[in-house]
Amino acid sequence: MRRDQIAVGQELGPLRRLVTQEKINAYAEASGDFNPIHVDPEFARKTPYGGTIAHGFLTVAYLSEMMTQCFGKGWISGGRMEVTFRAPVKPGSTVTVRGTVVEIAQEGDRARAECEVWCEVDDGTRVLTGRASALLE
Amino acid sequence: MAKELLFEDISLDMEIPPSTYELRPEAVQRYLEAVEAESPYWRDTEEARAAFGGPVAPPTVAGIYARMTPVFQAYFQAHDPEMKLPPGLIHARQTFEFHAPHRAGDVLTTRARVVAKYERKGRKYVEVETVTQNQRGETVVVGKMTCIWPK
Repeated sequence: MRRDQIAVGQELGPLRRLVTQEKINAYAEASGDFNPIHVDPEFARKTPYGGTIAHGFLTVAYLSEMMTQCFGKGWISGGRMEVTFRAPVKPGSTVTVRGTVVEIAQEGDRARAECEVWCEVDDGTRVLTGRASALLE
Repeated sequence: MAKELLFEDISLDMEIPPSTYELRPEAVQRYLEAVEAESPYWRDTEEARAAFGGPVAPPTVAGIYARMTPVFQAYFQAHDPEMKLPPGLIHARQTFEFHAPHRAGDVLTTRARVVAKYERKGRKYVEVETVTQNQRGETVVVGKMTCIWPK
């Protein structure tokens, strides 16, 4: 994205993904992370979560996909993110990724778009919050 | 019985060997399907050719190998193969800096080190920094993972 195509206050997203147990299992296969809290309903039922939860990295992947759709090359090569996982994502939830451009900063001869980003589930709970930034053309 | 790596066993000077892996095309494809990645950069499109000379992998793919499990698996292999992570680790925070793209066929090496351990509000935190380089020695991703250690 070019510097003249973006302004502070601009909204990013939304990108929506329905999380199901099948998708959590597929992410476990793809990542090799078979922690039973993600893939074993019997085990997960006895934990404080009361059931399985999605991998934190799955929501990070959704965030990265939204940033790619917004900023393209400047995210894939030059992106930065710092996020906190605030609540679990349970199967059956729809995760919505959103963001807002909060600053355009100069970095050498390039500009960087600093964004506040978050992922929320159906009831509005923010399950992931943080900052992400990408280089501009 | 397998011994668990407890919070008290973790130190900033523990030597974690690097781990190297090839980013196989089928693994990238499986990842794309699992995270429902739709951007044109992941496939042989005009956008991918113009930006990177061809398709690249989502930058978060390298994060798969920068998790606590593969990082400490390398440590266990070198120091005590019977050891394992305690169940109930909670991923609390994550940072990533994407320096350069990576793609199917790349051979990536991740070096990890414990950069902090502390207790706050009764919880035990461990921070591990990872630096992932490609076969040409170029840094592709730098990350920091913060986990709450269960015991």
